[in-house]
Amino acid sequence: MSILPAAHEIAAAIRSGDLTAEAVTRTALAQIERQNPTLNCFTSVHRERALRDARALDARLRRGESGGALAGVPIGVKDLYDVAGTVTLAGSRILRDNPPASADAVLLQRLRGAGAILLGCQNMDEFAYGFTTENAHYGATHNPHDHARSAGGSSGGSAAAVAAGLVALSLGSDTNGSIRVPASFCGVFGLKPTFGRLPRTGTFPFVHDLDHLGPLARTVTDLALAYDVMQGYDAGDPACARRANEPTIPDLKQDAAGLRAAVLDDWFEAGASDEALDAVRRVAAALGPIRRMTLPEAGRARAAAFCLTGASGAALHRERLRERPADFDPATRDRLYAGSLLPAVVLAQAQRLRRWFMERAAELFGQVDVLLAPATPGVAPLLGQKSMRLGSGEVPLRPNIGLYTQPISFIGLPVVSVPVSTPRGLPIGVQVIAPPWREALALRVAAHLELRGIVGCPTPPA
Amino acid sequence: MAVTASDIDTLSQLTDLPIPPQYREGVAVQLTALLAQAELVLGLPLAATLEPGPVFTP
Repeated sequence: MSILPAAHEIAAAIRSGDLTAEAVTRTALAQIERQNPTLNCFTSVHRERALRDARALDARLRRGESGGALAGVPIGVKDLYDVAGTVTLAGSRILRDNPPASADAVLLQRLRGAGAILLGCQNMDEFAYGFTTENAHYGATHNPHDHARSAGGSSGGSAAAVAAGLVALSLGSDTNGSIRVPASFCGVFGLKPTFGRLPRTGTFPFVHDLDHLGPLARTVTDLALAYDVMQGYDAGDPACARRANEPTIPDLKQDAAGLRAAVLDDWFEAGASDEALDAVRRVAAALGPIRRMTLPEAGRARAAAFCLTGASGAALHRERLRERPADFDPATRDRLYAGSLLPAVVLAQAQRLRRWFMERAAELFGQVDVLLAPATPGVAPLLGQKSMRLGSGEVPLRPNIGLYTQPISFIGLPVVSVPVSTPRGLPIGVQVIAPPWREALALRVAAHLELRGIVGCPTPPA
Repeated sequence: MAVTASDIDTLSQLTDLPIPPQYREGVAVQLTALLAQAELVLGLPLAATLEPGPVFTP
């Protein structure tokens, strides 16, 4: 295997006895050994633990026991998920002094319970505060499609590892776009579920009322499979909803023709590159008559998310800023200091603006089933790039990559980022946005597009 | 209006968060950007009865 097959194919082959979990794990570890020195997706690789888990799974299968929905699937997790026996770094130097985690994060427990094999922890922007995974402590993650380019962030290591086929599945986190942005730049599928759907127990936080967790994968089936395994209430996360599991796999084969889709205009088109606009057009065209809708004041919603992020992050890290400012990544530190100086009135207004904006989104969902928008204004930027073209102007790169993702996560809507190929060979993502708790609908639309070849993961050059 | 390093010095004392001198220029740039976003947030008139929005009721 030069690139790992899809997760569902691996699991099926292992359950049927065509492959062993140990063989698949060794293949994946060899791929990591070969490619990670260039790509820098992983901050730690847990070789012995992975092989031990794989051998244990093979033994269970030989005894006739069930392998699980993700039997033997190699996975990685963003380095803000607790992994028992490992220090959770969250991309920082400061947390290196912490004791190792005593237990796996709940979502990791659920994936491992379904047979997945954890291979390691993945690189990210420090404390998840960034969109490029250019980490001052652990280096930049390189985009598998062009090593001179960013993998996106903050779940950059997770997306790049999936795109390069080092793992079949990764777990990331998304506060302002940190699953959708790297999914866009690396050309993989990413799911940001509804806020409160998946428990965050055992992960390092960033902004408590904006943090979401979710999977990245090379197929929609894999995304849905992982999501279905991870659903369910957990009391360790106060924001986790007490909702019954709503499996999405059964819906994937339902035709999405007849669903009403609309392209978001105004804010979500202004400044977007031709590649981004063309990707949205192609996706929309495959879903029937193209309708256009405006989600009003999306720019202000994005501004509110921007302010809440700065201030909440600053509150979370205040003591560390006082005690160890020199140990922060400079790009993180200056923004956290600035967030700590923001007037409280802005935050109070931002929370009320959130209600207002949610109501506007609900009005749109009274008329259509899903909304479409670019995930990023353009394809992956070069590593080290400081500014980008936005419409007719040049703007700072880092704060503006999330222009189209931030308004959506601000109100917690479920989104699947689907990868579209562009003429110059770099992928770009389109957000398929569904009403609250309707992840199944977004995944069904993504599956419809995948089946018709409109979206799909391009294989990176060898 | 651009925030200056001197403003940062004053604000850090008022908020009891020491910001070392070598970081103040960078923080001033970031706070200027943040306040531009804050202006957008404060610029939308909202009904007095509008409650703060938790994301979704779990």
